[in-house]
Amino acid sequence: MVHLENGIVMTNGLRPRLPDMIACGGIGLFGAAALVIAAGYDFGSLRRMGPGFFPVVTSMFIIVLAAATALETWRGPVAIRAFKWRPIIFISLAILVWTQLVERVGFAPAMAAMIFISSLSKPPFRPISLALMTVFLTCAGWAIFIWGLGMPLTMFGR
Amino acid sequence: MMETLSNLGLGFKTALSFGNLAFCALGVSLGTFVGVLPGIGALATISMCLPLTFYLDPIAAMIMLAGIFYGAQYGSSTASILLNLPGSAPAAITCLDGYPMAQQGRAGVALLLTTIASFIGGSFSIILMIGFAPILADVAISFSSAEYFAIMVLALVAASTLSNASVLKGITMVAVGLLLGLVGVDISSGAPRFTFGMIDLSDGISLVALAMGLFGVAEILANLMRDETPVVDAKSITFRSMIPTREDMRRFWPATGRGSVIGAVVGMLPGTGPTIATFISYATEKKVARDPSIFGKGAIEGIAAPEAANNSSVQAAFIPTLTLGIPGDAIMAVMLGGMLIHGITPGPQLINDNPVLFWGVVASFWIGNILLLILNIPLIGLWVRLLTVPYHLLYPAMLFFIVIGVYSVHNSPFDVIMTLVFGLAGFAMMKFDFPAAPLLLGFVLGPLIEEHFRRALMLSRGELSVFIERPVSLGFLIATLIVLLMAIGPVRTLFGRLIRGRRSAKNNINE
Repeated sequence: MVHLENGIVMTNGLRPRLPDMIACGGIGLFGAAALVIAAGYDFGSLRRMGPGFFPVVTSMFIIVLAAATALETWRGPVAIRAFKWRPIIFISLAILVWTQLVERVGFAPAMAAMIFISSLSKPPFRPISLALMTVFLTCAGWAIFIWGLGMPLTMFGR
Repeated sequence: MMETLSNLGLGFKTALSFGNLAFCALGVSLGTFVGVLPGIGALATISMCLPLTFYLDPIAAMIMLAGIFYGAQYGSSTASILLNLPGSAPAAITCLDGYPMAQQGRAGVALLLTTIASFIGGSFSIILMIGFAPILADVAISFSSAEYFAIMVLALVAASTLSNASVLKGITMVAVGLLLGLVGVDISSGAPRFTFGMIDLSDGISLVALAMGLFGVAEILANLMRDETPVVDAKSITFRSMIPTREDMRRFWPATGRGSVIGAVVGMLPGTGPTIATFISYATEKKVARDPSIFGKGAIEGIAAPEAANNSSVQAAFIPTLTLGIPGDAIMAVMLGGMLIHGITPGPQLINDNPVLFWGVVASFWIGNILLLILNIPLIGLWVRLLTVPYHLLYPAMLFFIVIGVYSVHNSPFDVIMTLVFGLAGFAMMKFDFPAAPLLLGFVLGPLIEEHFRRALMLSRGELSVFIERPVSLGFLIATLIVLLMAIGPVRTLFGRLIRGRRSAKNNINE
């Protein structure tokens, strides 16, 4: 094992390679799904290409390249990195909630909800700076985008 | 010559109008402001600021966008010198000698000299651009689809193979980007592709959503997983600390000159962006230096040359972007996307069809660089203080700019959800060392490369030989092949090492 900066560890062996292999598999599946969909489009000929030609060729490339990358990962050393679920969950939730609220209950509540949820992604919880941040960003957002650039959103209500 | 001068006059008249000058200054400050903030690279800065320009007329928007671009480039080098946290790949080279300088208490000198080196590098390429762009545009007018296809293939292959990551991973990402670029209604047949019946997707995936996801949201996630971020001592940067010694200046000028030239040459080629320019210029400095051991310990040459090369190459990259409509790297791809949103189609006709825009933008490049110089030397202290902003205040603000910026493009919550999807994908890519920049370049070039491939083969009645019969196209394809073979070289040595490694392991067991 070789320790690199940022807590990255280079290692050999089968088990630590599994996430990398799954990643390559994911890209391969993405290509395969695209190929299945693209097969339904008119392929045409070299002389007169249909809408399916380029997507079919590109997705085949993706599948081959993903397989080759998997092979490369199989042979080479692989890195293990620090991973935490917390930021992934709360940042995703924060953005999703914003998209659901902004056109229904208004810009200000959507911002407050987003900033509150996103703050949960990394402890400690800081209520005062959170409140100040919410007020500041909501006002700045109103000034720049709604008042300044005329974006069709309301602060409260739809 | 006279024509160039009168064109330039026209350009400066446009760029120096009060409104455009104000937008240039606004763009430069905004770009520097966001670019300096730790953990936000140049690409994230540009994508976050892009929506702000949508409300302006095309010329003002282009001028402001270019200003943001310079500011962001400049700002991210500040973070790399003081925190050893490069916001982007080219800035990583500046860390090598910039951070040791900061540790020796010479951060002020490093910041001042990188500013001047950037200015010189940028100016060098602007002059080159004034002379060269019209000539290239004249040549490019005779290009047919076969040539465009070949140039784009070179750009994509070069961009994906010459980065730091694995060649295979780079090319895989280009292919994924090409496919994502095809989403939406096919322009020549009118058939919807990969839209899953959603109207939101019929115009294709939003470039802003993709860029903000890959470079904004993914960056936030990565930063939140890092345990601690380093801190700077902002008070140590005073005007007095910025004054370089005579010895510094003696070493500074030639290095800056070499960096500018290398940057310009590398920047003009399709697919080779600032990352390669900074690498080559740093390697060159090491070669020409009398004592190569000074590098990595705070050598002036080690910050001056890469920084000049960086700015010179990004500036030179505008030459193919504006005259051929082919962006050389991911940042140029975002700039090109921005232009397309404003209804400006860069290409050989741009100079003749819209001289006010073309020359106005060129002139504003230079004005932007000057503003950056005037603005930054007195403000270095202020920018440095920005680096002390804690991340728990920074990421909600970034999230805010991301969601509202993406939303503002089409007033669409759907695009914001797409941003999240690309953010998660981008984070996974980062984690598994799949580079995101080639994906973005592939995305922007996808529809263009398909169109030219189709058109070239339609005109040749399906004969693939059209790509090798035309000399320019053949030349670019040969260049692509050379780049590919060069890239396979290290892979081969890697395989060789593996076989040898296995043998030695076997020997060990036998012993």
